[in-house]
Amino acid sequence: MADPGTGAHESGGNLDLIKADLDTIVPGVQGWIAATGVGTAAQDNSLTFASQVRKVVLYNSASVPVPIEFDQTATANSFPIQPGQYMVFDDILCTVIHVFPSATLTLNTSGGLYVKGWK
Amino acid sequence: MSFISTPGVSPLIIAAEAASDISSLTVTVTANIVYLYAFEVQAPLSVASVRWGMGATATGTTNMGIYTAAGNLVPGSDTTAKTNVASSTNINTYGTAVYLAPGQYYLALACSNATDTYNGKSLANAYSTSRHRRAANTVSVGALPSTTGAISTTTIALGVAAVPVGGLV
Repeated sequence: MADPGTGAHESGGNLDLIKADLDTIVPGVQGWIAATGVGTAAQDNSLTFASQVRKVVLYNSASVPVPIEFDQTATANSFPIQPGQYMVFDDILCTVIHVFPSATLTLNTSGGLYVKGWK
Repeated sequence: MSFISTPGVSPLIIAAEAASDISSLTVTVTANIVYLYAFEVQAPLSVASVRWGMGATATGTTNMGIYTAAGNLVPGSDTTAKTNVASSTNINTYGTAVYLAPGQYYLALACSNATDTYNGKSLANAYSTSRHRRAANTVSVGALPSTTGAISTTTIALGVAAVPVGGLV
């Protein structure tokens, strides 16, 4: 078997690409990443992470269900998070949480949707 | 590992049913005393209306509201003094539904006089075996107190209710 460094060198000097892949694969990067956006009623809204995450925590403290999608447009019929429901999605790659709230939705505050991500 | 919690289902009605589902029984209360009914919220909800039942005598007013278990009035929950209507269910629909996070609360009712008759019953003793209590702080100038003060047992069990958005008509 070839030396690990040798293979990377021989592949055409793609060490930066390999390192980028490892950054994505290696778990446990400290510190959560905020998602920013607004939750306008009855339409698709983008809650965007500052950078791609691989773990998402959601808590719906609103009094109505919140339909969501990962990196694609949400509709009223999207996967709903029920009031009081707490969800952890692990081993995913996501940049934008899409929501389609039935009423104005606040973010990361009481009565709204809490969203946090980790690399 | 992913994790999903299963929240409680929002109730159709939060009601003091043991005091409500009685036949031909009404009770009078002490003026301006805040009577309490304890309840729990399992999942976030918004209260659309609060309700109370009146007997044949109704010349005064009623304030209803919601307190936290710590005794703090939930903002926006005081109905202000509403004129009682005899022999019927009295309903106050909030202009803005009152949001309640999961937790423990009291539904509160106070009357402006001691003669109006309410749907409810008078107990032989101030038992501590039910959800009914009373507050030390009283109604002032037609408004519920911002805090309950000390909470104690009562002989009065009132048929009060709160209905979440999407709850029972």
